This record gives sequence, C-alpha cells and structure tokens, in this order.
Amino acid sequence: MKTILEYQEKFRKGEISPLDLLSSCLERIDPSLNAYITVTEELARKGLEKSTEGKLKGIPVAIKDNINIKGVPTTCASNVLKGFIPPYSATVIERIEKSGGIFTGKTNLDEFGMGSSTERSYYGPSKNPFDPTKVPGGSSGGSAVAVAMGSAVISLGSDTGGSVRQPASYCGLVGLKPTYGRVSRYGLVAFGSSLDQIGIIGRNAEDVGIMLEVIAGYDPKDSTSSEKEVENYSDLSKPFKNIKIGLPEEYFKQINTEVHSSVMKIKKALEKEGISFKSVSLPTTDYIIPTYQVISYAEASSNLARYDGVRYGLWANGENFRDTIRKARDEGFLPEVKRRILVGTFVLSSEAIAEYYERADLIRRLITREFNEVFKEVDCLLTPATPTPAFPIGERTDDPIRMHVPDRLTAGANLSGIPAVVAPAGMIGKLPIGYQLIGKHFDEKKLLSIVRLVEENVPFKGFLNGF
Amino acid sequence: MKEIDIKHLSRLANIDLEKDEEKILQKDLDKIIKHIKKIQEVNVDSTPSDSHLHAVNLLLREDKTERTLPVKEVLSNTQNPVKNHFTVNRIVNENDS
Repeated sequence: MKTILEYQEKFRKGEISPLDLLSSCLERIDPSLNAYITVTEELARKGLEKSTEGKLKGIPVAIKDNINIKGVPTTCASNVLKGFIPPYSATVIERIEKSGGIFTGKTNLDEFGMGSSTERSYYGPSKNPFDPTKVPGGSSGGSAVAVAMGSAVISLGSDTGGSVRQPASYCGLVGLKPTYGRVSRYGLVAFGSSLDQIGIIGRNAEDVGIMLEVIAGYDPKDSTSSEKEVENYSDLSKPFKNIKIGLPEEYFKQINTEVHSSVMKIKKALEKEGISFKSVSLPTTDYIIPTYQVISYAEASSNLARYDGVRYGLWANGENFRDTIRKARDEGFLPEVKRRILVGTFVLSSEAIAEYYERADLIRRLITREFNEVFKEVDCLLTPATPTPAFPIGERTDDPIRMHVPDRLTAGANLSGIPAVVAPAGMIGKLPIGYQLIGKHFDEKKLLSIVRLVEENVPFKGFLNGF
Repeated sequence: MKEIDIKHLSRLANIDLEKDEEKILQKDLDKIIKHIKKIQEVNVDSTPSDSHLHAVNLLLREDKTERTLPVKEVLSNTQNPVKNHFTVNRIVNENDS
C-alpha cells in the first residue's frame, strides 16, 4: 500500500481514481477477521461525490466505533447502545470530512474501550491478520486490523491506557496517542475522561502526521482541547538535531528477550544517525497498572452511569423505574464492563475513596513528576511497546488482571497526558512487534520525525499482501 | 482487605446481577482489589495534590447562544417518546429501593 501523498499523486495524474481506491479497499475487507461492526459503503460512495479538496482528499479512513458519525450507529461494541444512531458527528469526523476523507466503516473494539485484545466485544472478537488464532490487540483492534488488511489507508482509535499503541504493535503499524488536549474529544464516547485521547493508526509516520494536522487543534466544544498551534506534523524531512533518547530501565524488565533485541536494533539504527542514548530510571513504573486501574475504573463508573435505556439504547421494560434501569444495564453490559463499574463504584465510595482513588491520584502526580525530571535530561524515551507479540485468542479473557499486563508499558503516558507513538520494530516469527517513543507534552513532531528516521534506516518488511 | 459487599455495590451502580453472576464477580472483585492494594506501598506524603496534571487549561467557549439539536433529533433514539418528552415508569408513591 502506498502513502497518502502517493495516492493523491496518482489521483492527480489520473492513474487511479478515488473510487478505484475505495473499491479496492472495500474488496480487501475479510469478514472472518471481524474488523468492522458497520461497513459504511454507501456513506463512503456519497462522500466521494462531495469530497472536497484537502489533505485527505479521496483517502478511505476507518473509525473506531466509539466515535460518532452522524446517522451511522455507534455501538461501542455494547448491547447497551442497541439501536443508537447519533444525531451529531464528532469534531474529528467533521474535520476529516472537510479535508476530503471518506469513511469505510465503524471498527470493532473491546466494549467501551475496556480491554487489550478486542475479544470483549458484543459483536465477537477481531482477529490478527498475521495469525488469526492471535488477538489483534485492543481496544482499537478493529481499527488496526482495518489498516493492516488494507481496507483503509488510515484509521482513528482511542487510547485510554494504550488502546491505539498496543494493537499497532501487534499488527505492524504506526499508532500515535497525542498529548492530552491535542485532539478534541467531542463526540468520542467517554471511558476515562482524564485519560482518553483520540489516536491515529497508519502505516507510516508521514500519514499519521497528515491525519494529526487534520484533527488536531482547539475545539470550542471540548474545554480540555488546547489552543496550542497545530504544527506541520507531516513535514518530517528535516530531522531534529542533537537528539538524546532515554532508555528507562524499568521498561525493559519482564519482557520477552526477542522483543528486547528488536528494540535494541532500533537503538543501533538511531545511533548510526547520530542520536545518543542514556539509561534513565522511572521507579514508579511498577505502580502504573494499579494506579491506572483505580483511576480509569473510577472514571468509567461515573461516565457509564448515563446508560439507562431511557433516552437511547437498550430499553428493558421493568416493573418500576429502578428495575427498568437495572435490567437494561445488566442485559446491556458484558462482564468486564460490569467488573470495572463495580470496582470503580467501590474506590469512589466514602469508605474507600481516600485509600484508593485519592491515593492513586497522588501517585499519578508522582509518575508525572518522574517523567518531567527525566525529560530535563533527554528528549524522549525509547521502550518496547508490548512485553510480547500478540497472544492467543482466549488466553486471557477470564483473567481480569493478566489482561492488563501490556498496560504497564503504555498507560504511564495516559496518566501523565504526554504523547507516545508505537511503530514496527520487526517480526518475531510471523508476528510483528513494535517499539515505543514517549515524549514531552506537544512533542508529537519530534516523535514522528524519529519514527521516520527509523523507517528510512530499518524499513519494515512485514506488511501483508505485498502492501 | 476491605470486604466488598457486591450486593451493596451493584445497587449503587444500578446493575441488577443474576445470582450466578454475583458469585463470579465477587471472586473477580476480591482479586482486583487485592491487586490494586499495591498502591498502598507508595509513599505519597510529600506529593502536592494541587499541581496541574495536564498541559492544558480549561478553555470555555464564548458565551453566546448557539443552535442546539432539534427536539425531534434528540428524541430520535428513545423507545417511547410522548409528544416532546422521554417516558419512564411511574416513580411517585413507589417504593423501588
């Protein structure tokens, strides 16, 4: 598959039309991989008719099914949103439309983004295109599979604890979680509001940069979005000078040895380009998972209190008002979401809030302080993206703790609101594996420039179907 | 470890659990609480709680009237709209706790 700019060059030269590209993308949808909950072929064809000139002119984009497109069902992979058709679009959707992008469909996820494998979906698990017996990662697994199998050039996901980056690692793609506030969350269904950020999954740093230019920037409808200027994120031709990258020792513990050596290969390639490395320490790393669990579960229990079937979604006809709501929620949510709502309710209860939620909030500040200290010495951090390649479907579904294991490497960036990008480091057997760069607030361009440098020096050869 | 009273929690969270489900979730919850208890090991005495976590300040939009969604669209997803209203079961004079 080509880059966005290469496709657009072909459009200009008349070698292929946007319709040709859309048709070939739609043909590549493999239903057995279950990447899409809703394919929006008609919407895409209509979109082509009115596609305006812009940075995404004629480019097929897949959207995670927790981001609203007006008139298309948003399910969040949950039965509780049965029949819900949003009457408005998310800000990111409006911006993509204005830039000429078209939508191939809404992609599968773990219900409300709660999972690391896209198995916990009311619509069934998505499968890894490199090996269908393995998970594609999650929770934005559908968005990763959609791009990996070639049904979309680029996709949007959401990242609360690693949900864009971990599937990018398992599917050989570039996944960016921008700085908290860089991209408007208006129209993204909330899971953990202080952690959620819309992210991008693409095949290369330049494409991801183009999409970031389109969707980033202040939105009056999201008071946490930033007014900071939107940079030219796709111009990655001039690398930054005198870059120093930190290697946090705690991030290299408890990981597969082949993952370790893959990341070291990336380090070597960057050293050849004149980038220097320094070993650093982030001692609170071991507390990232429990801290993330407490905060995200607490926020989820509050955010998901709105689902009662009265204004939208699953209506359960109970004997009385309370019964109606409780029934809808019991029938509507899958077990993992119930678990998180219940634990979230517990950590916010008067008897437990000081011991759990308030303490986790303080630890979050410690984690942030450690990142800030380290960033006084280095520009960004290089780490593995995941401890192992994709794991077998079914291996962790019933274990509420084990499913969180990959979050140890990714959720720190969410707790601190800093940007992080995952990109391919190579293959382990037939499965791809990624490396991760974690940067300072609003340093997306620097991170993408380094990914670009890696792409030039260690090109990833694992793309499927010769793409 | 704090005892988790799953019946109380499910009432607070408005989730009506089946008996079997309650049993399984009780086990899971005990396991999760045991795991998150790890945060008690961290010394947070000197951590300021008033520091800003994120690099953004809350920016409110201009205080001017904007067009809102038409009532018809707002009601388009409800099962039982009556005129311009959502409907729910009768609440008054009802002991539903």
